[in-house]
Amino acid sequence: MSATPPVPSARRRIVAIARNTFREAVRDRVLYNLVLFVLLLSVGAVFLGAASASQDVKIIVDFGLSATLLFGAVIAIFVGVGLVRKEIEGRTLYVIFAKPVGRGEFLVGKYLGLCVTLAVNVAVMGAGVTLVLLAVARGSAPLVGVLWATVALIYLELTVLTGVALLFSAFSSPIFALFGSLAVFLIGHFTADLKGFAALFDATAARAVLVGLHYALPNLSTFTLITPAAHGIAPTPGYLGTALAYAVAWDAALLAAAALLFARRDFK
Amino acid sequence: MNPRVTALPRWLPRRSVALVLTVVLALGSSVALARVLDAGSPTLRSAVEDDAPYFSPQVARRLTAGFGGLAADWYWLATLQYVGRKLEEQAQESPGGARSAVELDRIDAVNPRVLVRLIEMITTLDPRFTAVYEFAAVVLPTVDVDAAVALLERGIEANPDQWYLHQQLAYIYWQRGDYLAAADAFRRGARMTTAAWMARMAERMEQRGDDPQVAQAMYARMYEQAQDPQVKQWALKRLMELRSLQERHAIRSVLSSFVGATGRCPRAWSDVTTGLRAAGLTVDPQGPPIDPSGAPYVLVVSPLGCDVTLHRASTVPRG
Repeated sequence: MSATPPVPSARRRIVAIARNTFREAVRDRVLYNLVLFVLLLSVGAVFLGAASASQDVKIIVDFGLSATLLFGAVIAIFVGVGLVRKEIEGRTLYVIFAKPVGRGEFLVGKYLGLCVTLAVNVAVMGAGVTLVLLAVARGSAPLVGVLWATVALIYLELTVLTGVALLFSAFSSPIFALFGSLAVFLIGHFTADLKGFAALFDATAARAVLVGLHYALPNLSTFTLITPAAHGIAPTPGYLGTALAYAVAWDAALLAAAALLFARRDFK
Repeated sequence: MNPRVTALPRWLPRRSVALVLTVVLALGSSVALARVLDAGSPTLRSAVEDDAPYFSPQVARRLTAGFGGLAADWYWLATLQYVGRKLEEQAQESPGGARSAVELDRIDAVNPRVLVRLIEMITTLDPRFTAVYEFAAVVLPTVDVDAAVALLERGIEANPDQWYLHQQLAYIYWQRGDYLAAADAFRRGARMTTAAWMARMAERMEQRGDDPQVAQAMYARMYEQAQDPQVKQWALKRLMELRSLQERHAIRSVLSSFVGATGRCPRAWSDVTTGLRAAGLTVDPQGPPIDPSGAPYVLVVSPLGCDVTLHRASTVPRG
């Protein structure tokens, strides 16, 4: 009589899915974008720096961090939207769900896998910007510390964006998920202005709607302190801690909502 | 395969409740955290807001390729936000703290380098963006009058069909007290339009540029021609200010006639109602004369004599 193999714990199941997602991303050459990034950074550092009247350090930080954010956002949205779709189209989802894997666990695993991919991506890009900065500043670049604090904030933004893409893909078509995620990315950078606009209105209802929208959407500009970083202004540890808590709160809300919707989805 | 949403499985309700609670709690805490971050964020950003574009307008024009208009729109919004922030800052420092107390042509908190560079950037990227010249003619002279003149001259060159840009240029010269240059600007504009008032303004400017009637005509024309609502509102306020100055002058005459006849100050406006009406002023049935913003003037009686002043609720600029 053969013994039934023990069922792995939920944590191990999630880690296994995350690991698989990361491997898949590497296999799909997602990290190839780093080559393009290095090329862009080199061109930017040489040409834009020269055209900017001795503002090369500022330009490298602006350019490098903006590219890190944009490349990361493209990966978070495009790969995030395809995480569920690919499993459905490849029919691998049935194989996974035939095993003792919960739908919520599947989503969390996929999410963490993509977050690891993004962490590698962002870390390599941050290292690239640091190297160029050190080369331009001839070894002494006081902006390096500020740069990494800003890179950390960018990464937090990308985790929220991944959550948004996953939420949309959990219940809608790929096209809708793509446009929805892009819209949240764009609007998320303007939600801070909604509060400013609200102050211009005399009508209490209009003001309430705008302030409500400001809080109902993730304020992604919170994580984008690229311009201050280029001027050597670092976020305080308190700010970084609050931003981390803010990102975690949004990640939790998005994952819980995605799990709720994904649990009701019929794949027949 | 078309995924559909079905009824909840049997095991789900308890887990669903937990997930819904997670969503609610997480969103709730995100609001609280957003408030903390909102409070910290301006400090981080304020240090760089006085930052002029570091590309020269010419380089920016090449870089934007076919999207110069779009980039100009972007910089225009940035300019409006910059000026708006400075208005707020100056209003907070003013005694009343009211934003309306700070006028567009009296913002001295702006950084001339930043404002000039922003406006140059917009007009280089899109030289036919005429609302920018109009805005600059009002805001820029306070911080850099020469830059304002140079900008309007460039605007006129790039927009030879826009005759009212000459009026904006004339306004800048008139503000500076250079009435002959203002008259010349009006005359140049008059050659491009059938509007006879341009030529008349040129004559009046040459004869007596500091006449309040000239000022009134100037702001009235600025109000009529303005495309930007902020500029329109500003011209209206200037007109209100001029009218109120004239009215206060008339009220003081009525008050001194009363003092001359009775040897004392009036106890209330009702003592001088007849005189105020005879001077052509709008008088409230309760007695006080009404200023151009609709607020009553205030009678000030002190041991030194009697005078008139604006009511606290009045929106007439206080100079």
